[in-house]
Amino acid sequence: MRRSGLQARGGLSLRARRRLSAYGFIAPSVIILGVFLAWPMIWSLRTSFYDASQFAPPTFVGLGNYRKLLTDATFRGDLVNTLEYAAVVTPISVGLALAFALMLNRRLRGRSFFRASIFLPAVLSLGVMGIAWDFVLDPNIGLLPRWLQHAGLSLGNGVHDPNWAMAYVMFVGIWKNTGFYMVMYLAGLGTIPTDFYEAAAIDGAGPWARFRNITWPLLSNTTLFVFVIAAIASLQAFDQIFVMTRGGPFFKTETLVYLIYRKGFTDFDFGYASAAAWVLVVLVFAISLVQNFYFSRRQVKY
Amino acid sequence: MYIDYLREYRPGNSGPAMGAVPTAHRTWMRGDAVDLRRKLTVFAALAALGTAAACGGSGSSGGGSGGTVTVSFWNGFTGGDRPGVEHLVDEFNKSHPKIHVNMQIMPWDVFYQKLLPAYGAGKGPDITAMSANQLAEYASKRVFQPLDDAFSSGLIDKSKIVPGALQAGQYAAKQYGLPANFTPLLLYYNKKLFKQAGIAGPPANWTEWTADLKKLTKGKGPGGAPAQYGLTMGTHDSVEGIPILLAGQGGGVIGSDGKTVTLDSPQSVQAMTYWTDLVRNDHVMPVGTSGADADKLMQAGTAAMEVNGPWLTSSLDQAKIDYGVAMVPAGPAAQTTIDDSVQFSVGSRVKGAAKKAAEEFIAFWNSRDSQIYFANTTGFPPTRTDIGAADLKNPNVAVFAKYAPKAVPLMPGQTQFPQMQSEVIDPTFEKILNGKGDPATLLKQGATQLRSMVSGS
Amino acid sequence: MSRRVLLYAGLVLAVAVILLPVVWMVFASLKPEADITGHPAQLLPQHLTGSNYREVTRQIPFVRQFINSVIFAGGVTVFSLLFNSMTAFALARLDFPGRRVLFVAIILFLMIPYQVTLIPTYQIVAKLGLMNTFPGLIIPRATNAFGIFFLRQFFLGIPRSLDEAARIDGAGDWRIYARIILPLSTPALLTIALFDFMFNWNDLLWPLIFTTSTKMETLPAGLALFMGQHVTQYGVVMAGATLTTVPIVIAFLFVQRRFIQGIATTGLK
Repeated sequence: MRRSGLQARGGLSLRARRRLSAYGFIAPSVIILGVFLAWPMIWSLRTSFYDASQFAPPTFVGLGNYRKLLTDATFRGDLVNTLEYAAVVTPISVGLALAFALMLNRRLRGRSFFRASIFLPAVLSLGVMGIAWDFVLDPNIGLLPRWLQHAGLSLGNGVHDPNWAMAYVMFVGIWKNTGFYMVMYLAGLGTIPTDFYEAAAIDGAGPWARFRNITWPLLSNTTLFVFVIAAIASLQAFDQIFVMTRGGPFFKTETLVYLIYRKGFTDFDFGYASAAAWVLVVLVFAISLVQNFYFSRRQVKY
Repeated sequence: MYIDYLREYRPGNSGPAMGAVPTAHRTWMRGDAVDLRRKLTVFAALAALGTAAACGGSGSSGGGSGGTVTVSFWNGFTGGDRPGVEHLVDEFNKSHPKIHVNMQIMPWDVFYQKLLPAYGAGKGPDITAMSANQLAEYASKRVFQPLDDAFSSGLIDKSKIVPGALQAGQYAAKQYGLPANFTPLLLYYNKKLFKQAGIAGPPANWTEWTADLKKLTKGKGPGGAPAQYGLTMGTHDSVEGIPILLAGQGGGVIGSDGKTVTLDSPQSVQAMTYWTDLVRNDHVMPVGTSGADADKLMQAGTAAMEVNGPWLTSSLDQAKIDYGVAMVPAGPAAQTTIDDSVQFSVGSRVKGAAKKAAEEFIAFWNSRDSQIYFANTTGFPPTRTDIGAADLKNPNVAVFAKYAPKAVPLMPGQTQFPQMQSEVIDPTFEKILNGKGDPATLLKQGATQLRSMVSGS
Repeated sequence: MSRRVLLYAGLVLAVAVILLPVVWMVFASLKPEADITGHPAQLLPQHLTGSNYREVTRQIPFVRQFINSVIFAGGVTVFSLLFNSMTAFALARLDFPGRRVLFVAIILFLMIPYQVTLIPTYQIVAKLGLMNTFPGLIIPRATNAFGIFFLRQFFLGIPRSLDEAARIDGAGDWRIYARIILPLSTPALLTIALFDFMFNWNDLLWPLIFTTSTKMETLPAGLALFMGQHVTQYGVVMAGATLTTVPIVIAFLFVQRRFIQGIATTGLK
C-alpha cells in the first residue's frame, strides 16, 4: 500500500479521510468476498496443481492436471461445445432482449403482460421447467412435435438426437435468460432523458435515426454489461443441461461446467475439476477483456 | 485445510495418515502458520458446537441429553419412497425411546454433493443410505466402516436376508452396507396392447420377444417414428437395461469376479449386434431415452414393454395402465437380470453407543414387520426371505420378490462405478444405438477404457 | 397502422412460445396424474382437480418453508442490495488505492463456477460455526460480484455533475451515496433486487447443503421431495411450483411499474 497522503497536525488530511471513507464503503463486500470467494478460489487454484483424486491425500503434480486436460478428448469436445454454445446463445439472447426492450419501452396496450411474460422464465426454477419442457418437447408424446407434425415439420428425436440435442439446450438457455437481459435494457432505457428524443423529433429524425444516434450510443454502458454477463452466463451453461440431457447423448451437450461438476462430484477428482475450472476462468476472462476493450472505446459520456 | 478434510477418512486419524504424504508436502502442511490457524479453527469449531447443539441435530454423533442417543441419517428417498421411509423412522423413534434418528431427505444429486464436504468438516451423518453402485468407492476410502458385528451380535439374522441384498453391500469381503432395499429389474408389459396385437402373455424367450416386439411396433408418430413402440428402456440416467440383454447371450459388462471386462466378448458383441439391428431397422425401441422418458412412454401407453424396477408400479397404477410384470425373457444362453439396491452405511468415525444405535435402526428396518410394511407401501420386494406372497398386498411385489434371487450385480465392487457408467457404458450404448459405428468396434473401445478403470487392475 | 399490427403479432407469437411450458405447468397442476402423462397429450385439462394443491400443502410444511424462503431470499436481497451498492458507489465515484485491483478481482469472481468452490466454502461456513443457521445461509451471499458489477455500471451512467454540485455544497460521500446516487438508481436497484431474490428463492442446492435440519428447509427443497430418483409426482410438483412462482410474479409486476417512475425521477432537466 502506498503512503497515505499528507498528515495534517491533529487529524487526518482530506485525502486520507476520503480514502478512509472509500474503504468504509467497500469493507463489508471486501470482507465477505475475501472469505467466501477469494479464499475458495485460491483453494481451487492450488488444488488444480495437485492430484486431489477422490479421497486420498493430495500429491503435488505440477501442471499434470493441465497436461491431462490437453490430451483428454472429452475435455476438448466440451471446450468446443462450450464455445459453440456461447457463440450462438450470447448474441441471440442479447439481440432478442434489446428488441423486446425497445418494443416494450413504448406506450402499448398489454405492456405489463408482455413484459411479465417475457421475464417469467428468468424467475422460474429450471428444475421444474426442465420437466415441463421435457413433456412439451418429448419426441414421441410431446405437444410441440405433435403440433408441428400437423404442419409437416419434424424436430428429429428431440433432446435424444445427437444432431439436435445442442440446439434444444441452446433454445432453453435463450428462453431462460432473454427476459432478464430485457429488464436490464429496460432499466438502461429508463435512464435516457426523454428530452433527447423530443429534440430529435423536432429535428425530424425517423425511428431508425433516433435509435442509431440516441438510443444505441446511450445504451452502450448497458450493452457492455449485458454482453459481459450474457457471455459469462453462456460460458457457464449448466442448469438446463443438468436437467434435460446430463451432457448426453454421448457428451454432445456436455459443457465445461458440466465436466467440472461430473469430475468433481461423481468422480471426486477435484484436482482435475479445478484445473478445468481454471481453464474456463482464463477463457472467460480473456473474452470479457476483449469485450470490455471493444466497448469501452465506444463508450459515451454525457 | 485440505488435510483436516482428509483426516476424517482415516480411521487411525492424524499421525499414521500423514505417513502417506511425501515429506516435502508434509513441511508445507505443518508450517507454523497452519498450526496456528488450526488451533484457532478448533476454538471456532468448539464455539460452533455450542451453537449447533442448541439448534439440535447438527449431525454430530452420539450427543444427546438424558441418555438418549441421537443419530443423524441422510438419504435421497424422495418421491414415492418418502412417506414409507418417514413412517418407519417415526415408528422406530416411538418404539426406541433411548434413540432418536434424525433424518434428512434430499435429492440424490444434492446428497452426493453434500456428503463429502460434510464428512470433511466433521459434520457428516452417522447413517447414510446410498446406491450400492456408489458404495465401493466410499468403502474403499474408509468413509464407512464394516458392519459385520451386526451379525455377530445377533442384531440381524444373516440367514433371513436375501443373499443378493447382502452381496450388494459387500466390499473386500466385508459388509460395508446393509440393505435398505433390493430388487431385480423385470419386464413390464401393457396387457391392453398385448391383447390388441393378439398376444396371449409375456414372452418367455428372445424368439418370442422379438416376434412380439415387431408386432407391437406400429403406426406413424411425429418425425416418422413409430406411434407405438414394442419396448422402451432408459439408456442414461436410468437403471441399466442393455447389460441384461448382453447377459442373456452370455456376455455382459464385467464378469462376476469383478475384474474381467466382458463388454467386448464375442457374446456381448453378438447380443449388441442383434438388438441394434432390431432398434435401428425395426425401430422397436426409441433411442436415447432417460429412465424418466421411458417411464413416460409406458405411462402414456405408447410403449408396450419396459424393463424396470418396482417403482414403476405406482406410476402405471396412477396412469390407469393395465399391466403385468414378468421375468426378463430368456436369452440364448441364460435367463438373468440385474439388481438395483440402496444400502445403509455407517460413518467410520461413529463409535460406541451411536454405532450400536445405528445398527439397531438398520436391524429394525430389516425386521419382518418393517419389511412387510415397506413392501406394501413402496412396492419394493422385501429384503428378507421369510416374507411370502400371502403377506404382500400387491401381486406385482410378489413377482419382484420371486425373481430377486435371479438378479446379479452389474459391476460388483467397482470403486469407479459412477465414472464407468457415465463415461463409458452409457455413451457407448448410445453411440451404437444411434448408428455412430459398428457394435464390435465401439464395444472394443469401451472395453479398453473400462480395463483402465477396473478395480484391482 | 400495419406496423402496430406487426408489432403485436410478433409479441404475441413470442409470448406464446415463451409461455408454453409455463401454461403447461399451470394446467398440469390442475390435472389428475393420468391426464398429465396421457396420450395423446392435451394442453387443456380434461378433468379439473384441486387434489395436487391439497397434496402439496398436506405433505410438506408449506407455510414454514415459505417463511424460510422469505427469510433466506429476503435476507440475502436486503444485505446484498446495501453492500453491493456501497461497493459499486466506491468503484464508480471514489478514488482509492486498490480500486483497479478490486474491480479486476470482482470480474474474476464472476467467472468461477460454484462447483469448484463448494467444498472450501462448506469448510469455512462449518468452521465459523454458521452451519444450520440463517446467518450461515445469508452472510456468504450478502454481497456478490454480479450485483457490484451491475450497479457500478449503472452508477457510471449517472452524470457526475450532479454529485460534484452536491460536493461543492459540502455534501460528504455518504450523503451523495444516499441522497443522489441511490434515488437516481431506483430501476437498477429494483432490477438487481429482483434478480437476487428470485435466484435465491429458486436455489435448491445452497440451502440444502448448509442446513441439516428439516426445520430450515426452503420451498425448492420441499418441492424436490416430490421428485423421486425414478418417479416424479408431476401434478404435485407443478402445483408446488405454481404456488412458488406467484410471489415472484407479483414482485415483478410491482417492480416493473416502478420502471416508469424511474424514468420520471431521472428526468434530468
